[in-house]
Amino acid sequence: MSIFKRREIPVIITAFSGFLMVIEYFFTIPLVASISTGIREWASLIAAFAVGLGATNLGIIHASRVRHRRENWYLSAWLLFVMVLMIIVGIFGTTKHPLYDFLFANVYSTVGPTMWGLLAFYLASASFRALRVRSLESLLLLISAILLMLLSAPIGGIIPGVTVVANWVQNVPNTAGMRGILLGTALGAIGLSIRTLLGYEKGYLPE
Amino acid sequence: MVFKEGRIATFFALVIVVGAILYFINRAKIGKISKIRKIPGLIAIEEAVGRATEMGGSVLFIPGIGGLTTVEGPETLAGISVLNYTAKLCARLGTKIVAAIRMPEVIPLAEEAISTAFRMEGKFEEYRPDMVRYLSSDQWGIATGAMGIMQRERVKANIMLGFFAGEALALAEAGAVAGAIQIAGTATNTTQLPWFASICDYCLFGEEVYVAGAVLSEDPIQLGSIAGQDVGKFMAICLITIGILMYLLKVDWLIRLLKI
Repeated sequence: MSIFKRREIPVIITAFSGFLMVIEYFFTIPLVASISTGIREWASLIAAFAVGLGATNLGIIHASRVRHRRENWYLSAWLLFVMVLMIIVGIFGTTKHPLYDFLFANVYSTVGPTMWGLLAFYLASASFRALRVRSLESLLLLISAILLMLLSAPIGGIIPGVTVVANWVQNVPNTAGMRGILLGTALGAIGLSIRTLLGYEKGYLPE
Repeated sequence: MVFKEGRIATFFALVIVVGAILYFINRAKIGKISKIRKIPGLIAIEEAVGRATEMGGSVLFIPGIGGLTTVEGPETLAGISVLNYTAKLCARLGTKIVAAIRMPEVIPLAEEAISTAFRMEGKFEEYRPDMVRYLSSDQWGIATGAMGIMQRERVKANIMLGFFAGEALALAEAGAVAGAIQIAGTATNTTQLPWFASICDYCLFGEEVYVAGAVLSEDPIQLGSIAGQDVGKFMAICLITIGILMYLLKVDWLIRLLKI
């Protein structure tokens, strides 16, 4: 396919779908509503098909590692084995199969909460890094952090004024800052969308 | 054609912002280029890739954990634009780059961004399919996968730009442990920004993420569109100021007008 088609066709599809979505958001036009519903369904379908693309990407990369006996190749072999096992059990035994259920409940479901648990330790090390006073800004950050920690801890309630000041820090300067960032974010998203819909944003397109 | 209830004011606000963006794009087309401030986090990408090259390490790029069909889509696209720029630098300097992907639909975009970058630098023969790695569609799956890559592949520059959630802290900490120079940015999930700001060497906030691709491209038309966004900011500041005054005077017609 020529570069023209490879660049122009995606831009045309993006622009058509994008403008249709904008019209559907603001106006009640039955025809537009039905077309945009169809596009959304197609988008979900394509995204679902892309899972196959992901599995192919994983398969190619890790099979190559095993074949060439690269460093830690046995980890790639293990990944491929588990992936194929889950696919076979899922397809032939359905997701209600006891083995699938066992693997899901005892492997997959336990790994996620483990990582959430690890966050507590990461929080401690990140806080140590963040709360070193090296400037006026970091001093303010430290004071705010102490106030908010006291607010969450039982001891905060018995120290006079802590609750009031900590709530003020959370609700006034913190909320104002966050809303300022969100305002810029919304405008940035509009700008990026316009550039994408008009084909000016080229980072993901072939040159 | 009937307006949906509660969206009329939003529609006209959007028309003004889009109109301003198009105006500045057209201005740029006739040579009137707007001056855009430098974003330290973006300037630092070159430094980060250079450092990774000097240390014989690799560059890890994560364009967020968002997909394309959700509200995080624009952030993911912004990340892909920066990936394209980073890949160009890597191709130029001969540095290994790895893009860690969570959502499968992002794979073709990442592949296109990196292969195009290598082609443009005249080094397409150095492009390898394993530069784009789908790790897992699970949030912690990609986090652990990327953390492993940081250790195993001696990542000395870790660039994270896109939508991030709870895994942001773990990724940034792992990058710091690996001794990588870190540049991170996220827009919509503002709760993750404090972690990026405190752990990473450079941090991009909100709007900076969306304009990153345009700023790095140095394309006058794209830069013009950023200038147009400032009209929206000016409009918001005016509305906030007038709104505060009206609230103090107990006049509510502006609030009612914005709700129509």
